[in-house]
Amino acid sequence: MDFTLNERQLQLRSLIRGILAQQERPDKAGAPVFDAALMAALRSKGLYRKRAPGDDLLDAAMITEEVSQANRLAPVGLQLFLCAALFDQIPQEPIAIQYEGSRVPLRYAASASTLVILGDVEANAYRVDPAKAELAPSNYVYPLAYPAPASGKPIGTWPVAVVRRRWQLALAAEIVGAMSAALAQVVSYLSDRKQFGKRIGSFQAVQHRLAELAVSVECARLLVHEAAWRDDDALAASAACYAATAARQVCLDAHQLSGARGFTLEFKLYLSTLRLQALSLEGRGATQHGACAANEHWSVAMTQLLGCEAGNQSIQGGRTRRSEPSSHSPS
Amino acid sequence: MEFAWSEDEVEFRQTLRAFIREHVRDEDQLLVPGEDPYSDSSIEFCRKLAAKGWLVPHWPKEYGGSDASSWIFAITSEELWAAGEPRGSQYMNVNWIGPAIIAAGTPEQKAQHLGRIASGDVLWCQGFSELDAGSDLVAMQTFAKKDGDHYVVNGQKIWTSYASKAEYCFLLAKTRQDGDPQHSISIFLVPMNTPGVRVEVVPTMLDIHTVHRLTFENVRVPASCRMGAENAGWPIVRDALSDERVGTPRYARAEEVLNRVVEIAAERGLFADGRLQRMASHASAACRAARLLSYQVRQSRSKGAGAGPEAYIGRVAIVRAEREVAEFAVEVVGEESLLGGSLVDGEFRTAMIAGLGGGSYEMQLNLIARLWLRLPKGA
Ligand SMILES: Cc1cc2nc3c(=O)[nH]c(=O)nc-3n(C[C@H](O)[C@H](O)[C@H](O)COP(=O)(O)OP(=O)(O)OC[C@H]3O[C@@H](n4cnc5c(N)ncnc54)[C@H](O)[C@@H]3O)c2cc1C
Repeated sequence: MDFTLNERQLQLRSLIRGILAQQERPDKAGAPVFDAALMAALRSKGLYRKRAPGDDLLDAAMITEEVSQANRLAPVGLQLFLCAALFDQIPQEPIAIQYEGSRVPLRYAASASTLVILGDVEANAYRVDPAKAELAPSNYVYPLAYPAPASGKPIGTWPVAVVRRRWQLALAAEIVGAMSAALAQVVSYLSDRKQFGKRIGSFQAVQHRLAELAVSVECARLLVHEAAWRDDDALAASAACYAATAARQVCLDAHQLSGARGFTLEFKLYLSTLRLQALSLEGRGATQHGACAANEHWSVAMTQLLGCEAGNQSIQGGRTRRSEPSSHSPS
Repeated sequence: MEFAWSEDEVEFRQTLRAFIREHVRDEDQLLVPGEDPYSDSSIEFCRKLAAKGWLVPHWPKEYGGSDASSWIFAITSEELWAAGEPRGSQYMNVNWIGPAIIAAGTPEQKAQHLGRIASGDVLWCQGFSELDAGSDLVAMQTFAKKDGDHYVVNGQKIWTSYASKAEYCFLLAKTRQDGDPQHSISIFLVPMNTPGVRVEVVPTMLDIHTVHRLTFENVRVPASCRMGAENAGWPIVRDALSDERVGTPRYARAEEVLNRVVEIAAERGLFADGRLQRMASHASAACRAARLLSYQVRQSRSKGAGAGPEAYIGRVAIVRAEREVAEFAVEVVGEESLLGGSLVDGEFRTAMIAGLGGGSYEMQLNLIARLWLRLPKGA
């Protein structure tokens, strides 16, 4: 066990932070779009390389978290967790992902030329025409759209569990970044803001609320890091379940404690909080992640449940891989 | 103790419901709040309501009411909130602005304002909060300086709802520099078209609600617009606000949203899930508890009691109810709640502001701790 970043990881982190500091946030008048310039910059620095055998996914978690914490709209999470491990070529454009049979608005679908669909057993990737996606009217920061229907032959097929856990990891890492951003902003605001002649951040009732959030963020962060390092189904699902649940609380409390100012566009808190709301719901949200995790953790109990009628109805995609959290085996 | 409505009250509710079905716009009844607080349509609707005698039934006859019981007004408010509050900002007029004028206005102020409020054709806004005076409202800086038979007002209010269409502002300003802040505040009933009043929209991410910044630059207000004695506005406002706290039956709207979302869940075959049943039932109980607490406060207020800590408990219960309904609704429709202008998107945002607009949740908790639990005051 070692909880410190090694030399290479430290370098990686300062590289990302450097890129994020150099790049301007694109002016976000009008409909939100993804930050193509940032994606290109990350790519040009070699952060999008395909994963070598034996590499863990901590790098991916770190990059995703940092980008999200900077409130940047770059779909790096899926690119890194999914593509880097599965595709020969990492697509230039974002990818969109969904469960089979869902018709829900997806992040970045209007720019995605790859659509990944998770079925019961397999996940398939298809080429889709982003121009045929249907924009969804929405105000949760991310550009959302209904993708064009997938057709033709899949360009890739994998066991569903692999894709699902990578998706859950990408989501959870992005949530951790956005939670950190929201919390940091509120802490900094309330450290200055005075009412009743005192800094609001000095009131214990407020301190406890913020401290609770901090605990949730740190729990989620380590869960994600471990799950990414192990690249394990059960851990990924439970990290996503935890993070998606914490995301809601952070979103609500961050706004409540920021007062009316927190809702203004000028304050920009919404850049992290509304993203948290959207992320907390993606992939059917914490309930689905939790069902996946239960299926992995307590497989015997869950098999018994399968005998009962109502048992497994909410779980999409059968279990295809037994996980053994104690024995780490990079795939 | 008795929890039943009288026959008259039951009948009144039914009559009112039929009236609402006929006269409230379909888009209001969708319960998706729009950016426009239906200012124009509210005038049309409130005039109709007034013609029926249902806008201010609880006011004394001499001011345009019909001396009805406060239960009749409670029923009216509930039914209207559950129908998307077609009175728009006029709910404030009848809830606390009018009653405050009845309690503290001069005969001229009563003559000028009450008739128009009672007939449903005037819009008001509430100019209390400032950038640096939110939870700590008495820290306000807006100042009204006496100048002969006028006051000259300078300062800035913010987060003001409904200001762009309002004809009057119920304004709080300091009228002396030093001295106990609670005894330095006066109330002014200011026409919004007075020269020097500027209204700007503050851009927010709320979608469902618009707030404004009001700037007062050497605004000359006749002294006859001051309500109550100089420096004695605060107790009047505090009393009026306790009507505001439980007088807005947001629980009735929340309950209606809850019922609609349960229907959606059932249609989609999701409501067999015990977890969703529990969430819905808990939210429903929370709405009902908020309703009962509000009734309790209403009864003691109508018997002449002052603002007690029960009002703070009631307000916290209302906020909780709104939050629970939103949580359930989001859980049911999931990613669909991200669609702008949808019922659940609106509910999510409504719950977000519930704990701030009208005084923050935490301030109510502080007051409950001190006044209800009688815990010692902090250092
Ligand atoms: C949608 C909306 C509409 C509004 N409409 C109007 C209007 O029409 N007219 C008007 O005058 N105002 C209006 N307001 C303003 C509202 O009254 C204020 O937002 C509220 O009083 C809180 O003040 P603040 O926003 O400055 O928060 P702050 O005072 O900055 O407080 C920030 C946070 O700290 C907490 N806090 C502060 N002090 C303490 C303490 N001692 N202990 C524990 N917690 C504490 C608060 O509860 C809050 O959560 C509106 C606000 C909103 C959001």
